[in-house]
Amino acid sequence: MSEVKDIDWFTLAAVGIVGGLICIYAAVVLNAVFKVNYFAFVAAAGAILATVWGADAVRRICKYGIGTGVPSIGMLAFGMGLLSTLLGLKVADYLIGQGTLTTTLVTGVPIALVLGPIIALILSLVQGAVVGYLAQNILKMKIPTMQMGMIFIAGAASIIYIGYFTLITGTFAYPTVISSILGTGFIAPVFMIGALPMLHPYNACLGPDEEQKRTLTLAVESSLMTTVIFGILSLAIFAVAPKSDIITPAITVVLGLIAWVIAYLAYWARVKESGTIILETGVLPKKEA
Amino acid sequence: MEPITLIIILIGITLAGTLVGLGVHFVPVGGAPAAMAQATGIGTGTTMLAAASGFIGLISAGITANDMNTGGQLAQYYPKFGPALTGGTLFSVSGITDNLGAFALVLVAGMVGAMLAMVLLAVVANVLYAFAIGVPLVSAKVKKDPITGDRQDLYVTKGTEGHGTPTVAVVSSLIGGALGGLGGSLIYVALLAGGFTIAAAAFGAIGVFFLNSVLASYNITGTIEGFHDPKFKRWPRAVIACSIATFVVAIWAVAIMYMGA
Amino acid sequence: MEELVVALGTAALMGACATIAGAAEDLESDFGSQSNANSQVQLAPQVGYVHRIYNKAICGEPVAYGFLCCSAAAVAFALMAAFSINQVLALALGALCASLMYGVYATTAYMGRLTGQKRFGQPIYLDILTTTTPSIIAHAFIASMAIAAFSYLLMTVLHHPFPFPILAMLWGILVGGMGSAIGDVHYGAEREYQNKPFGMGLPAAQSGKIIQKGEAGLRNSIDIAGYCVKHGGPLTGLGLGITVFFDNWREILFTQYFNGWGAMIAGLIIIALIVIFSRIIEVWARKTYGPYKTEA
Repeated sequence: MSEVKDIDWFTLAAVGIVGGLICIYAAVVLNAVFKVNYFAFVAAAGAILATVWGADAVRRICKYGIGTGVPSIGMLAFGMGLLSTLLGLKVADYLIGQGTLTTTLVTGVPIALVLGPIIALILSLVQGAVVGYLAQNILKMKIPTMQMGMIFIAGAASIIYIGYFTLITGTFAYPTVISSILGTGFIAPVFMIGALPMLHPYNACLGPDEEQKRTLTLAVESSLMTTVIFGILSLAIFAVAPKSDIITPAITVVLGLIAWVIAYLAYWARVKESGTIILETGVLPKKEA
Repeated sequence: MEPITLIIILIGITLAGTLVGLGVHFVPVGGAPAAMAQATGIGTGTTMLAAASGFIGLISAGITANDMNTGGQLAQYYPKFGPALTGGTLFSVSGITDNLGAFALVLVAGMVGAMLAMVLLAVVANVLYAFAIGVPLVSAKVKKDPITGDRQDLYVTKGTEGHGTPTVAVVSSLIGGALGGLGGSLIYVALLAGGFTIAAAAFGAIGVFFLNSVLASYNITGTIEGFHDPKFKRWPRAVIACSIATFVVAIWAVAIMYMGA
Repeated sequence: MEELVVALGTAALMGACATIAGAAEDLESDFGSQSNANSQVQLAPQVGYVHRIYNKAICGEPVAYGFLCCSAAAVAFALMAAFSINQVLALALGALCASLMYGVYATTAYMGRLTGQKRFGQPIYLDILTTTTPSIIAHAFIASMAIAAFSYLLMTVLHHPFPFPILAMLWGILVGGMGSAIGDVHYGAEREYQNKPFGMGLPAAQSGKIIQKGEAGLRNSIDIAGYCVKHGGPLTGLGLGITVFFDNWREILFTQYFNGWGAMIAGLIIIALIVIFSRIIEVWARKTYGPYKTEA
């Protein structure tokens, strides 16, 4: 059996952080430059990259046998990531309110706003470091990858949150997040089906023959489903008066569906090429006694 | 917002998170083996069992707090609660002393909601164990039930660790549910008092609850039967870990409140 | 007086929706062999017992129902806000989107788990995938629509301050917990080991040796759900329905007494009655079944 080399997790972290932030900023900047909302779907790409990063980190932690199951890690990451992310976005809003750093890069995008996700990411990484230290040294989990892994999943959670906030509302400004995501209750699906693509891949592919590329393909497929659902949710923000814009949600949903079909078929192809017996139907295979 | 109020909120959230973490240790969790009648306890995972009951406590606390707020049906009995909440003085020293009755009611509402959900989870499962599986409800970790004095070991199937949820485990689950509900509703009220909107306070409470529930379940590593289980002696580690983790999260929350939530 | 009647009627309707939701939840998890019993289904090929049971390992039931119900509720909310369509239609469409997504997660979980264990020779049966997945989607639809519906009623008629997707998520987590604690026991301890003697727990040595043959032919997940619908499913529904109904009933009727403490005292009395009921069952079981071994 040939040993396929796994992608190094620091590479994936760089992809997640840099790629994620670039996609989120691109969505907001493109919308501001063209004075439309159509580019909200670009933020989904950022969330997907961060999900791939997070799913790999979950793999590395859980490979050592975590004892309570893989899903709790996702809940932990998103639970601790929420308030640090909100704080980062609030700092940006506070700075704008105080009038500092308000020179705009592009119309409608002050520097202070751009700083928000970066501060949110840093605070989440700090939170992850604290919890990782506690889990490893006080709760004595004895998992070598726990410290770094915990930092990574907290950071990934933060970027996933901001990516999906931007997908649904078109911006990550704090007042919009509070009224349109928390006030409507959409934070519940953002939490749950934002966390699920991060924890589902390893949990679903669990077993001695688990393979990184297949697991990460599943991460992309799951987060594309989430994108489609959030596209429908963004109807509540865009399709109401005064914006009355049905096109933005439609773009997100249609592009999401097309990309999802491709991703699902890619996953199916990987399952077939892995060598598992696939039978149309039949009785149990005879096993030697 | 006054600094003293913010510090009290900080301490309140940290304390609440620690209570949640402690409460998880009282809940009798059998996990997957319990669903196979191989272990005593309720058949859900540790994290999610505490979370399920704690959130029902949160729902009860939410509606009680709303009733006490200006315009609700209880506002006439607790007239100072609504103005203190909107004025941001609910957790100031004078706010707490003026509203002790209101606090007590909201926190007890959280406890009762959580205990109700928890006890139904345990007892309806017992109905199934007794009639559909046909086993007595016993624990293999003690020779006699500490509360009822019933002999346990003769009634345990050979090769298992017990089955069902005997009375000591049911009582332990009530304590666990009460602590979880208390913690959850305290976080909710603290965030609300700091100026968060209702939805933000509710989801903030949910996030902090998950954080503590998962850390406590890491401490337990699998299953626990309640306060009579030898694993229960590990609780100090969880208290330290949960309090530090919640303290950091509480700092973020208080920072948001300082900047005007 | 009229408000009280409307509120009580709503609480009763919520209890009924919750009962249906609980039963559908448990059956759906039996179709997919989710969470508890799944550990045995996962273990079986490793100890040599290959099978034709659906191995749906998305995450535990509470988390799964949390995400299913909050997605259904959120999509319903979005459709109501954007197009002002009728609430019932919006809830149905929301439940449809959420349960289709859930079905896709189920298929990827089945394929993924079996591929991760390919060395034990457990095949992926495409006919199991295609016949069982629609049942999973259907029951998920029933459960999520019922829970989104009663969360909506809780928010609009009983004036709960939380937004209704958050309420749906919280009740979804509870229904998952109920199914896991109650219904999965019927599947895991009884149906999965139907060829073992009745009236005892499962010794550790028997772990993984699940039943492979059914009444006629090989056992599959549809037979399992067909059995559990007779006891485990309705009992789960009853557990959830009682929780939902009593939590709201005590709130509605007794909040007016003792400055709001009436509802708390009512709750504590209900809890005490349930604990006494548990004790009665415990004593009955001990007396009727007797010990497994006598004092040596």
